[in-house]
Amino acid sequence: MMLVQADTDESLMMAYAKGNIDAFESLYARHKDPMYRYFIRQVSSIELAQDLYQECWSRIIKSAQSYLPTAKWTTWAYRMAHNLCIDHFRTVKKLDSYDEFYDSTAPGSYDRHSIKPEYSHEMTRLSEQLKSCIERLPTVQREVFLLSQETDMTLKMVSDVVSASYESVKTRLRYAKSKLQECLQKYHVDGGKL
Amino acid sequence: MTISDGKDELYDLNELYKQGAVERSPVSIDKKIIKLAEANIANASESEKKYAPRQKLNSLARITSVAAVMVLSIYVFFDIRDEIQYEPMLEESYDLSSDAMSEESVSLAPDEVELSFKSSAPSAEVFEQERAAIKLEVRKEKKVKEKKVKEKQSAQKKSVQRESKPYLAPKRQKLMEPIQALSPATEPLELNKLQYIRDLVAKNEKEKALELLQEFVRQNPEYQLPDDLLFYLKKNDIK
Repeated sequence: MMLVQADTDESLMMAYAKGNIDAFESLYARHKDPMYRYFIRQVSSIELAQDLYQECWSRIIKSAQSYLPTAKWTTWAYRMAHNLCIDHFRTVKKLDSYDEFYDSTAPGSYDRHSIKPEYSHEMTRLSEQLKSCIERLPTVQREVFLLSQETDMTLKMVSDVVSASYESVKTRLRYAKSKLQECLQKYHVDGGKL
Repeated sequence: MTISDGKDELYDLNELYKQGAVERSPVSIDKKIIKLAEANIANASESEKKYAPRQKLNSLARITSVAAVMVLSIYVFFDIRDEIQYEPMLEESYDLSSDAMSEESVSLAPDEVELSFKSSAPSAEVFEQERAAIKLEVRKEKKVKEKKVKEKQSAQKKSVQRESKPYLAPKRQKLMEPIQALSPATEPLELNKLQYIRDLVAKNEKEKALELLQEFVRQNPEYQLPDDLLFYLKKNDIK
């Protein structure tokens, strides 16, 4: 029995904590793809992204009993995702400096071109290009942009997830968008080469 | 998203992103996660059954200890009150007896006065001795009671300290291990933080404790809170 779409994430999580597996399935179906995309755009390889994605859901499941709907479920869950990414970046020691998010020349931390989207044939050239541009963003700007695109979080909620001030997040998003615009323009000017 | 792109922007980033956001989580991973969720539910219900009697026992122990503390405090209160009233009464009784003596001596004839004086002299001495003995006894009793009260208070303190030490059930400990191994960013000094929160609760600084606890949960959503703090958070979070 799948639950109705009108159920909030919070109520579904509470229902799952009480033993309702259908509630979890509904919740999972609702958030699996955005969260999956969040990971594959954040880390260097698709295998690693899948590992982190599984780990994130595993933590969500284990924490279900202690979940309290004080904050929105998305904030709570993406906070875990963020922590996982941070831990991963710290392990490989390739994290962009979180203080240097204004640095417009900072390249993406990884050679992320190894990611081959499974459905690339469906994508338009421009949206493909946008992905390359996103890869080149500094990590902190990329994360804010991805959260803004993949979730319905407000900037305040994003600032809670990434542990930054509201103003910082606002600035990061503005820089990210302006860099993406520049990147796409450059792509057109250079005739499809970046 | 709340902030829209400016109208003068060349490309509609939102639209382009949506167009390209076609990656889906693999079905095999989906199945694994759903299985994990089911297993977690099964484990939770099993451990609930296992620990249910123990939880009842714990709650009973808590109620009993609170009742014992209340009874003890009431006892100490009345005891101290009695002691405060005891000493003035002693002096009062002494005054009364001396008054009675003086009245008695006034009513006697001059010859008898001498006699009575002679006979009353040793009795006054005896009275003084008795009074001193009673005072000594009272002091001894008081000291003994004070010692007992101190002992009880120190025993209470010890028991509170023992209760407030972090306890992790073996199963939970096992559950925490992978998390501790995986999340160095979220780990340092968590138990100390939780202990600090417990101390605040013990000191009755409930608001600060709740605030810290909520912040802790917000910062470390994946952390399995100990039962006592989880109960405290759930109890106070209803507001």
